[in-house]
Amino acid sequence: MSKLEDKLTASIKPGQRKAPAGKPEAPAAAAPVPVAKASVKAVVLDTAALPHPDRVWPD
Amino acid sequence: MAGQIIALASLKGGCGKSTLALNLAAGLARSGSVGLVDSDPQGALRHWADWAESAGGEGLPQVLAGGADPVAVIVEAARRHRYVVVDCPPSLDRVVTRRVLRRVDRVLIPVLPSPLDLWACAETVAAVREAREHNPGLRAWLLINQAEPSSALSRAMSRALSSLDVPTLSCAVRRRAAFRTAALEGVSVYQLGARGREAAREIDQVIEEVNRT
Ligand SMILES: Nc1ncnc2c1ncn2[C@@H]1O[C@H](COP(=O)(O)OP(=O)(O)OP(=O)(O)O)[C@@H](O)[C@H]1O
Ligand SMILES: [Mg+2]
Repeated sequence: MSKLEDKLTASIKPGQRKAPAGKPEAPAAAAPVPVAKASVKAVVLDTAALPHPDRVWPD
Repeated sequence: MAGQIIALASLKGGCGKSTLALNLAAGLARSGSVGLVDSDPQGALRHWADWAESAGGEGLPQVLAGGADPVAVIVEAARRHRYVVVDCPPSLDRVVTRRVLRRVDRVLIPVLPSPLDLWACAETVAAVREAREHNPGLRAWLLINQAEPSSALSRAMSRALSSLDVPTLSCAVRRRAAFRTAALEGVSVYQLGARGREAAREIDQVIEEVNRT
């Protein structure tokens, strides 16, 4: 049995793998950091450049 | 699969339910009439059938829209056809898949050779278990789709899947251009001639193994 097979099989039920005794639980995830508004750019779609919707398959 | 209703279902989207449903239906159609029920509101199979018609194609099994009550459509189709193949929507949260699983005889769960798909399929297996409380005769198999035999991950999948309590078919369906070409041409892989021969052979193997086991 290969290492890859072992890893893939173990990955199905990660919750069943007990943390080693005495080790603390992983700390709670940090609060999400909001994305700065300035980093979000509006995308303008140039509809005139798109193929006509009736076209079945664009060339 | 005589007189049988078989569903293609999975919690995971994009694993090949519609592609396999259509091609399995085409394969089964060579030994008896087939009703292909599209219980997915996205309507991929209806689109495929419409496209086939407009492209002048022939030979696709009859596609029946599941509409608001796919189970009723399945029951009616089972009266008229020797085989009924049901394409399910992607999410098990949808009531549709759960209801369908309570009514069909067999279910094939396509799974792509990737950890994300493997994990999602464990949940689909749980849904099969739940369906069996109402439908104890339900038989289920996992089917590796889009397999790439030269990839180590693809090869490792069978072993990982064997830890789930639904068996995996020993035959797999490979990732092949023929499956996409067939959709583009509005046909099944059986109508692609030499270009679809290997793909059709794989679909035949799936039918044969489901019949045998
Ligand atoms: N064996 C295969 N080889 C190559 N391409 C494939 C194969 N199986 C499926 N595909 C392609 O993978 C994509 C997803 O397949 P498909 O739409 O059948 O999945 P699905 O499970 O029905 O998706 P959804 O959950 O959205 O209904 C499609 O582009 C299809 O052509
Ligand atoms: Mg689909």
